[in-house]
Amino acid sequence: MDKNGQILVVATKNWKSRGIVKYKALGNILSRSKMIRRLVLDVLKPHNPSVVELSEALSHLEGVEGVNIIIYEIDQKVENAKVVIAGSSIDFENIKKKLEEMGATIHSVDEVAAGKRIVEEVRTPQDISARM
Amino acid sequence: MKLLEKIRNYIKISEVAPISRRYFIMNAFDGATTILGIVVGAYAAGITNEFWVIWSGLGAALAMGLSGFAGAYMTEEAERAKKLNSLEKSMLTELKNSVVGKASRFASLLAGIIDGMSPALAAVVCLAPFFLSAFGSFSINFAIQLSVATALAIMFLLGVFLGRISSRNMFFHGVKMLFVGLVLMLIFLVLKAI
Repeated sequence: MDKNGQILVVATKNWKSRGIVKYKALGNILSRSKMIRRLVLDVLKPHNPSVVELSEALSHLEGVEGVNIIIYEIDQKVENAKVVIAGSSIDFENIKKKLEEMGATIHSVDEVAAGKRIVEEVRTPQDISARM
Repeated sequence: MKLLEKIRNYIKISEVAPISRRYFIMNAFDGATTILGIVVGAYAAGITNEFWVIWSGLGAALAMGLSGFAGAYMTEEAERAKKLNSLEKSMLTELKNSVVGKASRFASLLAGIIDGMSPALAAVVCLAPFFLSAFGSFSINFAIQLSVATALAIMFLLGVFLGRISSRNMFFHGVKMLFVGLVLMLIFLVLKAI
C-alpha cells in the first residue's frame, strides 16, 4: 500500500477512539482510489429536501448500489443523519458534491470500507481493555 | 420532463404551494372585483363605447399585474432570504448554490408570477365580453350583463376552490364569495340612487 493508503488505514482504525476523522484530507485520498465499497457519513442537513429526496439523489450516482439514511437527531431547523452508502466503486467527491448540492454538509466520515472485498470492523483485546 | 421534475422538486423543497394558492385566490378575487366595479360604474355612467371599459379595465389589469408581481416577489424574496440566512447560520455553511437556495429563489419568482398573473388573468376574462361586443358579436348592454355574470362566476368558482382545498362544503364557500360581489353591486347601486 502507498503512503496515502497507509493514512487511510490509520484513520479508519482509530475512528472510534478519536471520534471524528477530518473528512477533507481523507476525501482527497478517497476520491483518487474509487475502490470504496461502503461509506458511513455523519451528515448535517436542513429539513428540506427530506431524506427521501436525498437518498434518491445519492442512489442515482455512478458506482452507488444502495443507500440508507437514518435521522438520529432533529433540531428546530436542521437534522443529523447517518448516511450509509454501499456500492462497487463509490466516488467520494461525487458524494460530497451531491450532498452539498442538496444543502447538506458532511460532519465526519465515520467508516470506510474499500478494496476488493468489504472488511468488517474487528474487535481486538485492545478495544476491550480500552473500554474497561 | 427533467425541467418539470426540477420545478416540482423546487416547489416541494420551498413549500411554496400553499402560499401560491393563497396569492392566486386573493388576487384573482381582487381582479374580478375590480373589473366588476369598473363595469358597474360604466353601466351607471351609461357608456356607449366598449373601448372605454376595455381600456380602463386593461389599465387596471396591468397595474394589478405589475404591482402583484413586484410586491409579491420583493416580499417573498426578502422573507426567504431571511429564512435562508438563518438556516445558513444553523448549518454553518453557505446554501446559495445548493438546491435549498435555488428553490428559495425559484419560490420568490413563482409567487411573484402567480400574484401578478392571477388578477390580470381574471380581469382579462371579465373584460372578454367587451372585446366580443367591440367586434360586433352582441350589444354593449349584453356585454355588461355577461361581464358582470363572468365576474360573479369567477368569484363563485374561487369559493368552490377554497371549499375544495379545505374539504368543506364547496357550494357554501362559492356562495360566500359570490355574496361579496353582490354586496359590492348593491352598495354601488344604493350610492348611485342617493
